[in-house]
Amino acid sequence: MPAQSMTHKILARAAGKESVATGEFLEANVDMCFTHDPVLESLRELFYAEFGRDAKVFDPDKIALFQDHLVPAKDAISRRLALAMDNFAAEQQIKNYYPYGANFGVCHIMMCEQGHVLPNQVILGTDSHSVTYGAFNAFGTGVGLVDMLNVFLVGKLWFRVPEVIEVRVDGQLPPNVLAKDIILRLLQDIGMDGASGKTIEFTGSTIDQLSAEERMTLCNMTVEAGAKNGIMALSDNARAYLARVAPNATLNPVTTDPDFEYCQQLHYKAEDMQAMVAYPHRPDNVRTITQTKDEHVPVTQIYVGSCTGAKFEDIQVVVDVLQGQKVAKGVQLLVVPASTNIYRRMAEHNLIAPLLDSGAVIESPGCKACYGAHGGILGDNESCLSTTNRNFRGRMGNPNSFVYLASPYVAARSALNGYITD
Amino acid sequence: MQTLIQGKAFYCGDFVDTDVMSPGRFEPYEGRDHLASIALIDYQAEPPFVDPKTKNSPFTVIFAGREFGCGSSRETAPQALAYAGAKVVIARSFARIFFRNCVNMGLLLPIIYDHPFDEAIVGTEVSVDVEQRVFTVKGQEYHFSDFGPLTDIIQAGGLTQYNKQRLGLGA
Repeated sequence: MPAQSMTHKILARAAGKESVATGEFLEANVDMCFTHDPVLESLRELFYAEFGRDAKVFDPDKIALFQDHLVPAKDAISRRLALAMDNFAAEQQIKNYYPYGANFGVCHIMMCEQGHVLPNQVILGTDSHSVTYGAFNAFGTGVGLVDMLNVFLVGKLWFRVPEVIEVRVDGQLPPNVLAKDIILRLLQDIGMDGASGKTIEFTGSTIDQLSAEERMTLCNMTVEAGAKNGIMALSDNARAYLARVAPNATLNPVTTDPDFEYCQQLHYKAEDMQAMVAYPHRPDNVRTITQTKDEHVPVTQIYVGSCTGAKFEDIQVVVDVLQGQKVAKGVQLLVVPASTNIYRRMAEHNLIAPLLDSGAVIESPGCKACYGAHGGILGDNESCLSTTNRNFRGRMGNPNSFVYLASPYVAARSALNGYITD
Repeated sequence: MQTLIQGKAFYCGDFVDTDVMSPGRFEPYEGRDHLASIALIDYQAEPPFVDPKTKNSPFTVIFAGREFGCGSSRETAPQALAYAGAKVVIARSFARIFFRNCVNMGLLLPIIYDHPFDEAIVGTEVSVDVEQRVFTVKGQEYHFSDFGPLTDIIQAGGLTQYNKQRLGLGA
């Protein structure tokens, strides 16, 4: 049997094979999949039009539905999309349905928090940041509407077994340097197609020691390098997270064979890392904070949000830096917790009052301005420092604005100072 | 899939992302014409991909650089290009989800080819013979590879048609 990476092993299991070869095409059974509000209405229409009025999904318990992009309803069409989702969930008896309400949030964070992500699984979402699930040793990847339409019916999908890049990080990160800085550094080094169609597998002592949420941040942005998936071996922190969200689950984690041949290997010393900033309009247009500080880049909006940068720990970092101090004059600070669960924990840990003292506005959970539809759109020529994942032209709703990406630590420091700094 | 495609060429550089093809600020879309009218609206080019007067594109074949369609998984990106009038994209490389979406939709043929063209190609008449796997620019022929294991899906007209035929499903 050829040596297998953990990604190979997951795909082989899901395809009912002993082993797989890099470059091989296969059809894999899907363990869990989801779609969300911008996609579901079209998917529902096509599902019945193509497969028949009585068509049923392959397994309602392996499907989750989320309202995250267009809630609270941006307009009448957004509300229509949400209601279509109510209908589909009822028609297909989908229990893992998380509408705007008591328990909702950004799909990827919800997937992890609700225990829908387990090691060794094949997990698909109609959202590119589905690569997040590698943090828990799963194969997670994004697909489009037609892929998911077919998965909903047959429960399987074609894949090409990817080449694997090893990114090893060893050692202790300096204070206030976060997973976001590691992934921005990687993007600087390999670029937006550096992992095109490939796997990025993270290894090393730093990765083993990262918190579960920080592991999610790392895997989440591997798609910015074009990766098919990001993945890492299960760690103690990841196990503890899973024990909390999926206490009854049996875990069957996978590891990479010692003699597996990576197509490329990059080694970093954590001690060499520093805070990084991605400049407009590309996530790989990255400079060190030292360079950025000298340029004194003014910002008028700080956005703490999205599946990348609004988990509980991200917001805790922001509060720890601000300590109730006022943000700089002329700066608006938006904090958009990624889920109601995170929002609730913010209340339980007394993070809300200090944020309000600083002048922050806490928005309800959702994707909001990260993808530019609503909830924090930028003005012409305005610059924003954001904890999100992409800064393409127009990403935050205005093609004449500028988005810089950085960690929650840099975001909070920049909020206090009115320019990008650490 | 139509086997012989002819029309004018458009050009996109490297790393053209799906946000500039169908920006989030236009979501939710009001329908097919709306989506066509905003195709590539944030990609800065003169002339633009979509003619602001007709709200459609005069271009049929898009030549692109590296990692075409990077970013979001939104199917509205290839849909917008196709609804506006494009039928083929010939790129040096594609982002994987965009490539899958093109194969699956059966509306926009994604050809991976390390072509020699740049902005100067815009407006040139190009023909693509899908069956013979050749495209022709100014009398010069360029032969592209077959689609390997994806040939059956492409010939069926997309993943849905492929699955319906294969599994005997459907309305």
